[in-house]
Amino acid sequence: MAGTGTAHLRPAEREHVLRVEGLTVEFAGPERPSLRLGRGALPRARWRSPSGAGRGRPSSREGAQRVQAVSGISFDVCPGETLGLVGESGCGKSTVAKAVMQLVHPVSGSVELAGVDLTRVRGEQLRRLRSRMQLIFQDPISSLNPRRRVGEIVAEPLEIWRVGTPAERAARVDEVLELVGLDPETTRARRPHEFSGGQCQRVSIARAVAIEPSLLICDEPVSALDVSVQAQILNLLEAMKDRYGLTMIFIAHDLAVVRSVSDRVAVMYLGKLCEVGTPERLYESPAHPYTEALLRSVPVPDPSVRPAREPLPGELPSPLDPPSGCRFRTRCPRARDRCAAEEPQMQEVAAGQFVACHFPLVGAATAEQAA
Amino acid sequence: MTPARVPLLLEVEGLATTFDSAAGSVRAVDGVWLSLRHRTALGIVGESGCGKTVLARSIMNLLPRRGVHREGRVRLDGRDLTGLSAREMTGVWGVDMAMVFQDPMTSLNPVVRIGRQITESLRFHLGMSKSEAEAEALRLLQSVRIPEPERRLREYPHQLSGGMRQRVTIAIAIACAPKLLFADEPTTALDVTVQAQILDLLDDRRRELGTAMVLVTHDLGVVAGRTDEIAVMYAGQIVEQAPTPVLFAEMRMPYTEALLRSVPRLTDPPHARRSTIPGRPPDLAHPPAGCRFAPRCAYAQERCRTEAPPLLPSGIPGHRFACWYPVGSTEGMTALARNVKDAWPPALDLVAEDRDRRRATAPVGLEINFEAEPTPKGVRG
Repeated sequence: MAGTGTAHLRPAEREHVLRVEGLTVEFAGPERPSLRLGRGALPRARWRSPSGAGRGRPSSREGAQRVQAVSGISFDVCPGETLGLVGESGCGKSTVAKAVMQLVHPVSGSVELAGVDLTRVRGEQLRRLRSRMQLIFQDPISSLNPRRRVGEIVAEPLEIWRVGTPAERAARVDEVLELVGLDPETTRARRPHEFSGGQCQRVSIARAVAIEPSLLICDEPVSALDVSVQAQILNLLEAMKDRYGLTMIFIAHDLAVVRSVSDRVAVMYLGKLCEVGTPERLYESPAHPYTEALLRSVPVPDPSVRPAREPLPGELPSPLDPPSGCRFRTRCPRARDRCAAEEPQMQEVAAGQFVACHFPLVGAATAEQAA
Repeated sequence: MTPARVPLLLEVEGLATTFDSAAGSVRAVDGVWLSLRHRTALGIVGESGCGKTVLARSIMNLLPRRGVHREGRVRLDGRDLTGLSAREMTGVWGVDMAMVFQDPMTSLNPVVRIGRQITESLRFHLGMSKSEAEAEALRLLQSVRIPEPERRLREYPHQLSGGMRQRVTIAIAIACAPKLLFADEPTTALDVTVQAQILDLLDDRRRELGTAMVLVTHDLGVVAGRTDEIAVMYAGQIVEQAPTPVLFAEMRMPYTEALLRSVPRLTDPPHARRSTIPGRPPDLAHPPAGCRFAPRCAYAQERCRTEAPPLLPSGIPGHRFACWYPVGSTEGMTALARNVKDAWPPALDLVAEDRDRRRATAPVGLEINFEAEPTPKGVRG
């Protein structure tokens, strides 16, 4: 099976919070053009219901194309670790987050949370396991119910899981609000619209940590915020991690944002992983040409540094018709014939650095190519 | 500041914009003086709520009339735009001044094909025939490097990616070759890779057309390599302005320093505490007395809380700033050291390099490690 391999996974015996193997998620794509109502008709993306009704293969309605949003991804996260997941819009990062939570059901692959494969459990058992994972979304304002008070929003997970007595819950709400830097007295009774984006994101974080999850998934938590507020939220997430020993998956499109919070960084492109490594390795000497392009796109706050010209030309190809072989080859400056014919597999090019590329910028293959 | 012979394109004199609100009148732009020469690029930088967008829209006269009071003068190429009616402004918008907005989805009409959205201004302002305008629209789409432009002309905005939509809005903005182009956070909603493409594109087209540009952003990283001059805004006022290299090398205003320090960098060490600007911009219905940044400023002293510093020249041509205890000066260093001793939280935040937030452990002496900051002048000692 064409896949990006699992060389980067740590041994299964090692304790891990999450271990994802061969995760593939498909959606029913737009109908074939011949069946469209007219030129420019909206593509109808069909998301299968998260209730489990549409488990298995997506509806193979006649004429519907299948889009593979995530194609055989594997990764693991060890206790107390933060995995940074980076890639452009449309590469499938958020789908990975949803598939881990079982909010969309993978077509194949396994998602093990503390040893239990979430793809094989349903109903009440899945619901219980899900409570050990919490999500923080990009848009802090739309992820909070505008009609509810902050106190109620933060208390909701505690109430659903009937944690402690009402008095204990109220104390817990105050405690987490305080922890995220909001004054419980003045914020408890207010509604989300009375807060700025950064403050709403603090409320989301308070809600997420209130029931002390074992895994916190942050999906672009700072992309909608100002740089100054970004730094505040990143510091807060780090502080929460220290306090609760949280394990995190941190999704972003900007490598600079991920750098300071991650223990391991995984770079994703069009549904597959390109490179996995420690931040030290990956930022110092990226092995995948895509990682390098992402690094060169980050604006440097120094006028003496000329911005790189077209660090990455073109756009992400359609996942309806992904390029053969290496999916990045259509935009890759190093692409050769082999890249179209053969899909690269994950290989270790340096200690703690894994790359899926035939001609990586680091390691033995580079020397081979030069020879 | 500017040699008298060089004609100025834009002159903004004492511009102030006040909104009526339930909380009282909000002075979102408070006495801004700016000038811009032909073919130059000015960056306006500040946090959300600092009045950057309102300033740009006030200059363009794009704000609603009801409940908005505008004072001061705006001159474009010698022509006073101050008293113009909306009808008279339609001859200025698009032709003399145009704007690229932050969100390309909401700034394009979702039910009108791309082609017609571009030809609209060509036909209206330049009086082109339908076929001329269509040919020109095609050329414009090519110039903003949209692949398959013929097909895109017949498509609707939702059929394009965010980056492609922003290219379309740029094509619309430059259609009539305006003298001045405002770009209001044009890349904030986009990926970093697309951001680089769009900024390159704006820069190329603007140079080609000889258009001046005002680039509004919250990210000093975005303006560093792409502007000639930068104005830093805080709470409706310009607090520091300088030619770009001077601003980065000689920044004096603590707010500018704080903004720069909060930009994420690829060289940040893992799990290091990020520098932040504590708190948030003031409520402009009730701005603080004295310097408006004082409640968040690491250097703030008693004087800052009572007496507002004027925006004065620094001695370097084109550089002005408003601060009593500037970064890098003896006064500034003494003020910071005193604040660290007094455990003033913003000062502690500035010097705290350890991740532990507990203030008690903060160093009492002045040991600032500015690491890779490009502006460590003066604070070394």
